[in-house]
Amino acid sequence: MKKNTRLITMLICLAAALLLPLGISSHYNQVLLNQTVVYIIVALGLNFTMGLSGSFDFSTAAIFGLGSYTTGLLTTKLGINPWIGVVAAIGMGAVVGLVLGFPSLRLRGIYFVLATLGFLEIVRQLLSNMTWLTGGTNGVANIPALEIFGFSLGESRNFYYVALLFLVIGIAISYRIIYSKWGRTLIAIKDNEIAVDGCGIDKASFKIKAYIIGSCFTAFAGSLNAHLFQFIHPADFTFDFTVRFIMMLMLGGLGTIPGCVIGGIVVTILPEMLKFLGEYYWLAFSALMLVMMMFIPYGFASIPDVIRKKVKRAGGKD
Amino acid sequence: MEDILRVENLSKQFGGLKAVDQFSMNVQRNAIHALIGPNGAGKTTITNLICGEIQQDSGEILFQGESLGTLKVFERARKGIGRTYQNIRLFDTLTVLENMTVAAKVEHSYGMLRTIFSYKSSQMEKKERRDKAMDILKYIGLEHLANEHVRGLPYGNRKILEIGRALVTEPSLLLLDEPAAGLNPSERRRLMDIIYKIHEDQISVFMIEHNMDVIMTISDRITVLNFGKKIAEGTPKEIQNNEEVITAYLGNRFKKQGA
Amino acid sequence: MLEIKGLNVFYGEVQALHDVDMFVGQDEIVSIIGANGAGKSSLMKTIMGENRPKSGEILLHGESLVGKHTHNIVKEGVIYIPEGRKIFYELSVKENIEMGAYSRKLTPKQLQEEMDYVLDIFPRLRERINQAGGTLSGGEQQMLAIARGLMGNPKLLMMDEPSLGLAPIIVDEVFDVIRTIREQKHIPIILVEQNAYMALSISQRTYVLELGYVTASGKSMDLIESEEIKKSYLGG
Repeated sequence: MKKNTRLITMLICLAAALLLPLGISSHYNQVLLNQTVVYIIVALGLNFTMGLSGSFDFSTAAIFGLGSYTTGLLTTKLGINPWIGVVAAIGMGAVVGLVLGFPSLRLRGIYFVLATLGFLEIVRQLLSNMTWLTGGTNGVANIPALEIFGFSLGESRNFYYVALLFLVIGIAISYRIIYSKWGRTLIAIKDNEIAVDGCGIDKASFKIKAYIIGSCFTAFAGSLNAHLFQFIHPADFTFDFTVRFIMMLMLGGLGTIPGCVIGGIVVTILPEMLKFLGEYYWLAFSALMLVMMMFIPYGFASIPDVIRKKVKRAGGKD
Repeated sequence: MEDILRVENLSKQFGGLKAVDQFSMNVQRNAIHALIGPNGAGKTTITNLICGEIQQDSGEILFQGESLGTLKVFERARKGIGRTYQNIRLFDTLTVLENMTVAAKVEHSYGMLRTIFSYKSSQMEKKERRDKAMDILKYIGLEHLANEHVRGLPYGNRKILEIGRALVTEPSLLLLDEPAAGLNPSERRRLMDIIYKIHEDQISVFMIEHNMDVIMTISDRITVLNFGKKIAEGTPKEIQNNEEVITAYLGNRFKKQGA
Repeated sequence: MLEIKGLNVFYGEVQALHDVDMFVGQDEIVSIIGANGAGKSSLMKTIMGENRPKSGEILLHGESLVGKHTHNIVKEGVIYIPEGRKIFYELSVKENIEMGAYSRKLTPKQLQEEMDYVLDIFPRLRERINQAGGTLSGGEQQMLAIARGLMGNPKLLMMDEPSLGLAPIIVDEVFDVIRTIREQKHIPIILVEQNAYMALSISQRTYVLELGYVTASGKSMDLIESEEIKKSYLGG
């Protein structure tokens, strides 16, 4: 029954997601919606490292940026088909995940955190300074839109539906991983690393693979982003951008898929709704975040659990 | 009888302190072997050396005739050294069953890509892990708690569960670090029953323990450690009457008395 | 002087002390012995207000200590010298000893007098008065910890494992000092020890703790000859 409830909830959410664009008339809101879907895919990716195994990961913006530039440069400089660019971006994600994760996740302690922080800065510098390749601070313009069966996706509703399809696939993959030994072991690593060793588990291998798959998600989303806006710029991929995704996870609920979705929606859309506050909108947003984290420390995804427990306790008293 | 574990001239120094000094010991296969000694004698250091949490300065550890060299903790665990910890180390946010399935040694273990793309494989592995975990939960008498969260479990059950989690890795040597600490008399009884059962199932047991009633009742052999050195080894009776052991535990009388 | 009645202490779900009753009279050394994990340190910490008992009473001169803060218990004159010689390594011997009088308002002259008095008991410390605490030997550090404790003008002195990690000959010296303190200051001393025979030979009365229970108590002279003690340490 519990499984059925979950399935029904998912179907309702999917139906709502499918109908949502019909209620949107402005171009601006449609783009915002498209962006939200892309960002949720990133949150799903970050969830594998930070959400499950609990290691802080600051590389998100860098990998997202590299994914964007991979497809952006391949399509603009070499005229390659955008879809091949997207696949190349996923490959880039895997390579970066391996190269960065393999050495740093084998060591105990904060080496991984430092490596991701350093990587973030290196990538930003390279993107702005390797002018001959990246166009430096001018960014990369005129990136072609994605096309499917002759329909251009551009910034339109079409893009939304295709991205939504990818999101659903991403969620399915996440479910497979989280509810297998992979997910359970990653959670176990967060709970007690030393005991994981004692169980005969090569925890580094789990962490590295989780980081690689997470990087693939992030780079993929980055490539979608490049084709969505058709313009990318190194200043988009900074520390602040990374923090945005960390906030999504913390707010939504670390390690949970509904958490990624809810966190992704709130953190992307809420600041837009606060824009009427003018220059204070970011301050107001930060304050709201803080308050929410104080009152629901385990994130939005934990609310049903909390309610269930309260109901149980109230029932127990009678 | 054959030795499952041989420790030869093991030494480990922390700064100026010789925590373990030229320590040798053989643990016989299928025995219950206890390591005792006053506070700070070096017992936990020896356990950590055997498990590979730290590396010795000199000496050698042979498990089933094979040198453990610089193998990592998880590699030693895979070779068959299972352990529990002095301060329980469970996976608190997982359920009882999940604690077991994570640790379970299984025949069908698939990579991440196969888990994602092959429903059949992933279900098969899940089932094997689950079945195995349930078997051990029944063995230690915790099957009725399978779906409980570990965090809410009473202390005694957490300690027993930790032994179960070690058993599900299929060890041939089980290291218990103070298994009776903090248990009440009835829980202690339950613990001893489980250790006996493990012993009867041909798993060698090596334990550190402070509760002398437990030690003297269930050990076949006892090694006594003081200031990092072995001072005695023998049966419980021999140990209880060993003068050096008595001095190590109860100290000397005041020399200047009456002077 | 100090009276403990029906004390029950828990660490989380684990019960560390079960119904402990104890009495310490004026001018006696009472030792509390027992193997590792018997609850000796838990008892000390409870008296010092670091643990709150679930039930039971701790009375100092008939006045309850339960619920008081540690610093107030220290002000009542209960001085605890923890195990492991927690001295200040960077400070000199003199400064270490002065720290013991921190919570008392003494004039420089009074401070000097008290210090002279304490140093008379520990001539070795006087020789090393300007050395840094960390450069002292293990035995000297223990002496320093006791000296610092005495500067608090104790009405009840509690020592946790003063012999821990010391060579046997130094242990003798430390215990000799403990006897001297009782003879000169006429204060009750609670001595917590793993080194059972040593504690039994210098104390008047002894309580044996085993897994949180008081399993034997009485005159130290009688207990030292009994099999009970050996059994509590090595089973039987």
